[in-house]
Amino acid sequence: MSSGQKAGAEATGDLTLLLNRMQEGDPVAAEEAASRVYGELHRIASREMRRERPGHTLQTTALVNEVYLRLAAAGSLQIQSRAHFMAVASQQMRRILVDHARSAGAQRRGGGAIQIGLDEARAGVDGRSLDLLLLDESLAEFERIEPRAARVVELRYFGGYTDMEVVEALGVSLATVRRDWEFARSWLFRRMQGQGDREPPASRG
Amino acid sequence: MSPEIHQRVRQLFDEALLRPEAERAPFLQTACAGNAEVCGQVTQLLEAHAEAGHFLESERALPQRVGRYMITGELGRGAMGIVYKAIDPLIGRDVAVKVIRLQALADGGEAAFLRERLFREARAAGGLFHPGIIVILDVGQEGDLPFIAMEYVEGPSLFQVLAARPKIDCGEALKILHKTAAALDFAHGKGVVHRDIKPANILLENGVIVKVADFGIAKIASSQRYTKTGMRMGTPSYMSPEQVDAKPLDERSDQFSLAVVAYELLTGAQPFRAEPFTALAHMIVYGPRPSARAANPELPASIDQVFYRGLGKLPGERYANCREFVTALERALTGQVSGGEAGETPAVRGRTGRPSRYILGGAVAAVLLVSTGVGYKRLNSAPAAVPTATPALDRQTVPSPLPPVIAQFLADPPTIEPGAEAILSWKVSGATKVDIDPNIGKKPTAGHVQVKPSGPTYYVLTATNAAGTVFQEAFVEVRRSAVSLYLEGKSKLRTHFAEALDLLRQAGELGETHAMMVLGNIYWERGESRDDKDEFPEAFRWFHKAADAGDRDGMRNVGVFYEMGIGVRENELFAAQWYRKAVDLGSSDAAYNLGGMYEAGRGVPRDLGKAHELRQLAVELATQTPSPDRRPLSRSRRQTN
Repeated sequence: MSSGQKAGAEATGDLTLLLNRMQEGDPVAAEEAASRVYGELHRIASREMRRERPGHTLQTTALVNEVYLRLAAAGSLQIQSRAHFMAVASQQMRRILVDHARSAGAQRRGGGAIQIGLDEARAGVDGRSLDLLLLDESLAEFERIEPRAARVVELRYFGGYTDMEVVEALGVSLATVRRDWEFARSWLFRRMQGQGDREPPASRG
Repeated sequence: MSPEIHQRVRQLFDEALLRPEAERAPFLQTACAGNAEVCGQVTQLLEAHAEAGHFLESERALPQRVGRYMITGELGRGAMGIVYKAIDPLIGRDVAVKVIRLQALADGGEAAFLRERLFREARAAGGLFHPGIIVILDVGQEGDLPFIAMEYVEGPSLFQVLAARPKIDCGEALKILHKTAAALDFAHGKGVVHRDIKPANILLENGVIVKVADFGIAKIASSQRYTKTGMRMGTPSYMSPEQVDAKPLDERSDQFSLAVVAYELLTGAQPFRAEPFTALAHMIVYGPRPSARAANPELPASIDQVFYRGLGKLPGERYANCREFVTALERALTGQVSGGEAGETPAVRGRTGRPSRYILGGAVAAVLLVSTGVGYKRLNSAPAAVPTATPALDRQTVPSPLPPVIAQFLADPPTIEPGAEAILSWKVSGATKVDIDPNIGKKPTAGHVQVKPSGPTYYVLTATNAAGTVFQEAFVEVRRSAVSLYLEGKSKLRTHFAEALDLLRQAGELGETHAMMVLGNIYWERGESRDDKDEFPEAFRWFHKAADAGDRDGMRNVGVFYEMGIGVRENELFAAQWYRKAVDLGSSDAAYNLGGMYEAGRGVPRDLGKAHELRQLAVELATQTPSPDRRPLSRSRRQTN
């Protein structure tokens, strides 16, 4: 017997519906959409890990794109919802990465630890890896003062989307996205560097 | 910090960044007007900005060198990789080095194969010596990453030029177009199709000499699974219909793309614009050709005829080569200069005069569904010849035989009851039930719905009220024999998941493979997203049904389920057998997976040679554009039964 299936069927709806409701401010729909996207990201990540050599690092961009394609193909996503999807996917990618960083090395679901990393290109500075937990914490703080710029960081950094795609997702101009990005980077850099006891994001000189 | 102060800090930071570094401090001193807190904050942030380097950027610090080339800066990044500016130490000249991301999904033999292919393509493109073409100097490999070294051109690209001033002078536009056309025709003469003509690939050296970049490289990119899942996501704004439709291309595809660029240069707007991007893809393939004159009334009327041909849906409608197109354009434009307005605007809006609405069509599906679980196939291939002046939507080709779903629908068309909401329910086999919002257009008192064919796989659904006014139009797409219905435009589309599921199950039980596949995916997804293993057997059941019915992707999925023990007891022997069946029908993914089984000796004797062979086959299957006779599964055969 599958528990909750009947109750869940209506609530799950299809993702498009959820995303639309989310946009209209329905918190339950937002949560459900997020959990579905999270599940899908996680599932594909797990599957890829079974195919790949151990120690291989998945590329977030490819992952997010694949989830999108899968959902679109399964008919559960109207393409109109692409912009919302991008936002949700980036947020969930952030969650996955941060969760993973938190439980690094932990065995999950009986299999080997799933390793998901940012595209190698999006690591920290000077080849040093970035403290994701610190970034997450700093971003949460930044979110309170600059919510839109924080979204830009989520989309670009965690979702791997380009400036132009961020423009599409947020419905603001390219110039705004670039300004937000530069400001967010500077603010986060300063905030993270200020955590003297933890590893600074970069040490120059 | 108070919100007001933060706002001020943010504003000054943004403004300071626009200024050269040396001017920032003096600027702040004046602008802060003695507010020490604001000034301090902004200064700190600017310092952080200077120190942050590539922090969080899609880039770790620049590599020191790639091959023998010493990297001096980054020029840009695109779908396929990053382009660096570099110095060739042997000759001391500047070069551009494009590092290509092949590693994303490639593994072992597959990577080697893709690399070999890349080099082969680069060599072909490298044989193009023309003043209007960026010369490829060298190909090589740095670590895992192949790279291409090219002639360095200062730029700016036409993309940058357009970003700065959307509409450029006619004479200048013509000059750029002539040079681009000459370069393209030259390459075409050598058998190389560019495939990715867009403003970003047209470089203006010192603002004058035009150089076309990235010849043939798009082909390499499209040969990767990675690009299929990822990069095709980019906007298809400049793609030709056949390219959007993943059909074979020739040089006339470049002519189409050049016409798109020309349209943009002359009007400041792109000819095909739609949201979302899949609607855009559909518009390119099926939509009417827009009037350039409507976008820019200063253009002569005769310009529309040129674009009508240049943006022809079928390659045969277009100009024979790029120069011919640009010459025709020039003739039309110079006519304007001399004051004459010859010619008449062709009926670019299509025969009916009604604004057309677009749906997500098969074309889009071809772009999107590449490596996904849901199969896609057209019922018929496109008609061989279409009258040149007929917009593609008016193709009168009637599918033969008429899909049973449509026949049934025509026999018993739904009626629209008077009332607040007109509901059209698709009883036969659709995946979606759709409410038609009566508030769009004229409010219907009562009406009827008609469906008429509009292309090989499309039907136009027209809802008419009692007064005879069309209040809703939709396109119905027939995929295999299942019907998907979409409404586009301002109408509110509401889907009813539970009912759709019910309809799908009915269709599935009646033997529709498409419905089976959709169901399999739905249950699989549910099981995974809720971690509810009870859903998997149902997913497996539907995929298996589809596989039994001869569906290639169903076979592949059954293989995956057996291999991974999803919804069924793990059985490597069965997995290998199902993969084999799918491979025989041309499934790239199945070949890839089966290769893995040979490599590990699971379900089949370990055989590295076979593994390699299958991986190569997977790449080939994924890269070749399926020709109509290769693509069909057994569906068409079964349909006639």
